[in-house]
Amino acid sequence: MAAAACLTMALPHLVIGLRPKGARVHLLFAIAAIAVAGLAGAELTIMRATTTEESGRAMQMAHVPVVIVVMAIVGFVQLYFGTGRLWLGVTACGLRVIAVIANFAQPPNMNFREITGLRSFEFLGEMVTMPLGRPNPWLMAAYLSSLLFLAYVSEASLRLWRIGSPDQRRRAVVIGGSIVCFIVIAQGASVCINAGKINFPYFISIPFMAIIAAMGFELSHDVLRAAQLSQALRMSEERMGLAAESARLSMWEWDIPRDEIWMTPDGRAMLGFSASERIDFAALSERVHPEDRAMREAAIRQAVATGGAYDLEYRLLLPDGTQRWLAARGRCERRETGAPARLVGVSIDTTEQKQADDEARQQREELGHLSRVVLVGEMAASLAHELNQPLTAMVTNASAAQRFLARGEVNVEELRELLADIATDGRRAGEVIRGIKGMVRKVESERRAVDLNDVVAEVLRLVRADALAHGCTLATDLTPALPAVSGDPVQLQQVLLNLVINAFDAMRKAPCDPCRVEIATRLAESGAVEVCVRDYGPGLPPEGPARVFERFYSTKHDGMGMGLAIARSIIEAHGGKLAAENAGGGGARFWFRLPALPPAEVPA
Amino acid sequence: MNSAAPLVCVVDDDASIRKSLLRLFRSAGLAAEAFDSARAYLARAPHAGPSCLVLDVQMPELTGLDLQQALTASGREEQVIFITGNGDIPMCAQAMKAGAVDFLPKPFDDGALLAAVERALARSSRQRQHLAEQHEAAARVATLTPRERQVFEGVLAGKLNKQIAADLGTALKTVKVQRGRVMEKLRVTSVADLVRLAQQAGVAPSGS
Repeated sequence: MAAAACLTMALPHLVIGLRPKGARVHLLFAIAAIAVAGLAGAELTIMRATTTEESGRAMQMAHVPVVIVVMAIVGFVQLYFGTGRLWLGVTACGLRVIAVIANFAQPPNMNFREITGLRSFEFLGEMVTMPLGRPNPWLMAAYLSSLLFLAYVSEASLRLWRIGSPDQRRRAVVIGGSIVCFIVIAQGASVCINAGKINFPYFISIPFMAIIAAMGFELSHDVLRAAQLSQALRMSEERMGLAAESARLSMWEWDIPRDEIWMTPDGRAMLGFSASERIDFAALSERVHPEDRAMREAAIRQAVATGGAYDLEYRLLLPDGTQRWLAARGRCERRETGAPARLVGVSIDTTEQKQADDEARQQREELGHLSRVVLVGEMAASLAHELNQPLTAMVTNASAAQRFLARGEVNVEELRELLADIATDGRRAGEVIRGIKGMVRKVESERRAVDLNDVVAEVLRLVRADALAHGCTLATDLTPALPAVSGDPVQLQQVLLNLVINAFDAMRKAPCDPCRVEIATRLAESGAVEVCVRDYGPGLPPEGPARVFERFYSTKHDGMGMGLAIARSIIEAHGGKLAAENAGGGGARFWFRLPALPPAEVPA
Repeated sequence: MNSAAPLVCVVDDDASIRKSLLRLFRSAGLAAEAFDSARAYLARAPHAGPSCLVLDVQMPELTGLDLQQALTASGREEQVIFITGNGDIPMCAQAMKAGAVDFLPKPFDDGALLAAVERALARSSRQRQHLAEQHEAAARVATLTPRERQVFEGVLAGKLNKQIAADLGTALKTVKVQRGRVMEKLRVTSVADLVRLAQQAGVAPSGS
């Protein structure tokens, strides 16, 4: 019955243990359980023996499963606890093997030097026999082995208890405790039986079965937990997949040493790779828009070199010619040696978002233009009304004077008064115009030390999207550590923004090569700081560069012709100069210079 | 009766414009008066002779269009010329529909304004003459006795003396005498003149 129970427990673990990737603890457990079953069988044979030879032979055979159980348990504890002292276990096993060798070398067995007879007694209602005789001194080797075995298991369990997690502590108590407890019982019982002190058959298999049961309990706990974990993992994977799919997120992993990229099916589909196609770095790079390739590769190289992360947005140019926007975020993982192992990350298709952004920007631009138009319209209406009154009075007065003269009734006093009124009304009209100018200039400006490189950086941030929309590239050549200038940063940004937007517009008017706007800062002669914007458009109008600064002069169909005029007044109010010239090699160059502040005035 | 000289009234909140317009009208030999608001003009008693109103559209409180409406509502049919700094078409249409003579954007041509004023004064003058004739006819009709009035209405209805006599229950001879007296009192010599005068005085023929 005990044998059957052991075999039942052994079977599933044998299956697990025999699988190529199966855990060896399961195999060791199964071996131990089978050996205990064998031991139970041998003990039964001893009880049923009718002759001394038969009994001695059965006892001799019973030691084989015992040595197997001991070795299997040592191996199990070694693997399962990970805290055992191997030399102790190996010595215990070695001694046991020596005892078994003696067992076979010196018949009848290691317990008895000579079996002199059998004593029979009743046990559980059945007549059983037990051998009697002279003990074998080699039995001491087996006892010593058991002691070492106990020491090995207790020490391993104590260590696991000290350092382990709650789960491992339980394992130390259940397995370690049961081994120690039942080995002591088994050994004590066998010593007593050997000495013939008690009338009891050999039942070492019973405590061993208890040990097997304890081991089996812990292992099945593990098996159960593994099953739960795999279930949880599958659910979490499903959830991740669902989340990724709904967010149109694709996950990828680049195995750097093998240069192989794994990617979720969505990602493959988005990039136009078939499900089985091998993807390497070069193949992926080919899908990236040529203009964005260098930027992307630099970011990845940086992440790999520093073991950091990157966060990028770039365009894809797929083999079918479509262009898509992709936002990618990746992180480099290193091996313990420090060598880069893999780059993992996620990508998301942001094309639609980009399109929405573009539309929103276009609407914003249109709205901005419209509000400017409305403002100008209102200003024009108020200007017309304000100017109409004095103009009407002047014209009417002049007409009256003409009629008086025509009729020949010239009253000098009246004529003088009339002319004085005309002059007053003329001055009044002048006041109206001055008032409008003042209204335009009303925005108070705040002066402080400004680094023009910062102004350029801020404007670049504002126009980057416009540059892409106009199909222009932006290049900068900034001189580091420029002296500061005194000015209103917002107004200076307005001026530069105006110049850059004009440059974009100029490039749109004509096919340009290259489609590039260059912004440079430098220290000009006589202690001035210069900012220069150069485009490769059609250049300045043939009427002359100076005309572009005139009010209401525009070459744009939707332009008001105020931008550069205002820009020039801002720069002049800052004590600087704004000028334009045709650049060598085509296109126009607009630059402004502002006097640099003495270094002492620059706040640290 | 129409002895009072024509008068041009100017209503504008801008003093320079008022002053210059007064000068312009004076140079054209026209009497003119200026008011700085619609209320100031309404406070003035109506001019006895032909007159016209040169009215600015945009004014604080009562606008030019409001003043025009107020005048119409109180039965003063004034000839109005609008002047405006920035008038639009709906505003112009409203003004013209309400009987304005003209609608001139500032600054206007002096010739165009004076021509409009001339037109307006002519209209005003015709209007006054028409009114005077009405008054005169009504005054003459008022001198008739009740019996004479009955005969007058019978003649207007185209009845023969015999029919009138039958209607009134008098002798034919009496009707003939009374008819002669009506013609004399009303200072007409023919039945045609009599009918025209009755129309001016607003007398209806007797029901037949």
